[in-house]
Amino acid sequence: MKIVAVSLLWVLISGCSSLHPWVQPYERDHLAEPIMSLNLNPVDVSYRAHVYESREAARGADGAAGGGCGCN
Amino acid sequence: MVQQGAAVVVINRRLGFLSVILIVIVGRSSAGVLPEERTDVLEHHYAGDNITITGPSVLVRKNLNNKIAFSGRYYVDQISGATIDVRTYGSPYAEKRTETSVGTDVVQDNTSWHVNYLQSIENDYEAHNASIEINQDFFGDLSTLSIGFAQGWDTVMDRTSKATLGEVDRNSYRLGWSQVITPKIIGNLGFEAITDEGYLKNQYRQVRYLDAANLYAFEPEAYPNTRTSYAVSIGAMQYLNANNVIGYRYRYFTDNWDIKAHTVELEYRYQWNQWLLVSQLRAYQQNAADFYADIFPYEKYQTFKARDKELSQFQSFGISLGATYVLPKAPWDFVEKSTVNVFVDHLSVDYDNFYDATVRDANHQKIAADQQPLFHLSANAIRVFFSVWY
Repeated sequence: MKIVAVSLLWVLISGCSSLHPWVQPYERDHLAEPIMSLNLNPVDVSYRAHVYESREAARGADGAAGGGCGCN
Repeated sequence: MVQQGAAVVVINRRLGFLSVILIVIVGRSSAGVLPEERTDVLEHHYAGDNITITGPSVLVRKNLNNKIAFSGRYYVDQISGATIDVRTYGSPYAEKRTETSVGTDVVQDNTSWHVNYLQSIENDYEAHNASIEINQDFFGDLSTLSIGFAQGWDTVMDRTSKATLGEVDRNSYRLGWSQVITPKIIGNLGFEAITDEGYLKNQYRQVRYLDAANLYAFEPEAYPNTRTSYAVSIGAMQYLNANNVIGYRYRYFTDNWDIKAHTVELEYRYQWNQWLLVSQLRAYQQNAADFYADIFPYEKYQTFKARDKELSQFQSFGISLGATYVLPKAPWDFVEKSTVNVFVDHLSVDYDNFYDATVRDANHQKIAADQQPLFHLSANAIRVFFSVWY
């Protein structure tokens, strides 16, 4: 069992050591453009999340949310 | 007619717990930079199910230097009307909820910390939430790991006497992973576990049961004192070209009240000269909590019972359209950019086992529950806001 664990660890470490960032900094200009923003308008994103979350049972892992009651 | 402080008010709360820290967790693609310095002033208007919710919202973010930033948010819900619950066994009402939060961001090399405090005040409910989050860039800044913890403590009060009816404690544990996948795609993974303990029911809402006349009567609802939920999400933003971006996201939710939910969101952004147009589609489905029923067979049928439509089985569909216009450069040097924005959401919810208990016969007499129609919610939310970067 120990041999298997050590072997697995070795494979993982070896695999990681050969893994390099595949997108270079000079290739990320598109990702940096404002239109790609993950949170385009924070004040509106939190409002919208609040509207939906206050009318549903699901919550969390939502990327944006506002606090308080969801009055309905 | 709207009565201030009417006898019975029914409000569903998601409590002041999900703080703006979440915006940072998934909304940030790099830990090594501070959030944008900007101020947003928003006015919102929601109308649906015979209720209107309006109010302002202001968000300010300002850097102290290139390593420390502060943020503050002010938000108001001015509520009036009569929802389906209120129309069933209550009185129209008006009330106000005020939410404020302050936060700070600190950046050091590839690491950032975010600390936030939020409070929400109503005349029968106070919610407080404190949160901390750490973000770390690594793998040549292609990956960002976020770890967050939040704690909430709420007080439920009697509307008239202000006596404390109960308290709620909450903890949230969050993990986020942002990954540059290609030069045009950035992906996100999110996980969040939330625990609640305390007074989780609504002090006004009631459940109904079959009475001796085969009609129905009402009794107070009863909830468990604890709830634990888990949510995982996966999403991505994809750059198509200089004018077109699409985004997609899926979330799975489950909790120990036996609720399972699925959320799918699609987003499309189109840049056209000074305009940015945004459209979003959102589909949501959940099953009912194991102690939910539209009508119980008899009074005191079981220990825990709820008739909260947010705990019923339903599907909802939302569509959002928005436009942002970049204003001409202001004459003041400190203003980098300013925009005006209009966003409109339409929400449609079809309930599978929540019936409209307000429906009566021609003589305004009760009819059997199984003769009442299923409830449907249709609502619109409009936001107009002005943003300035400096």
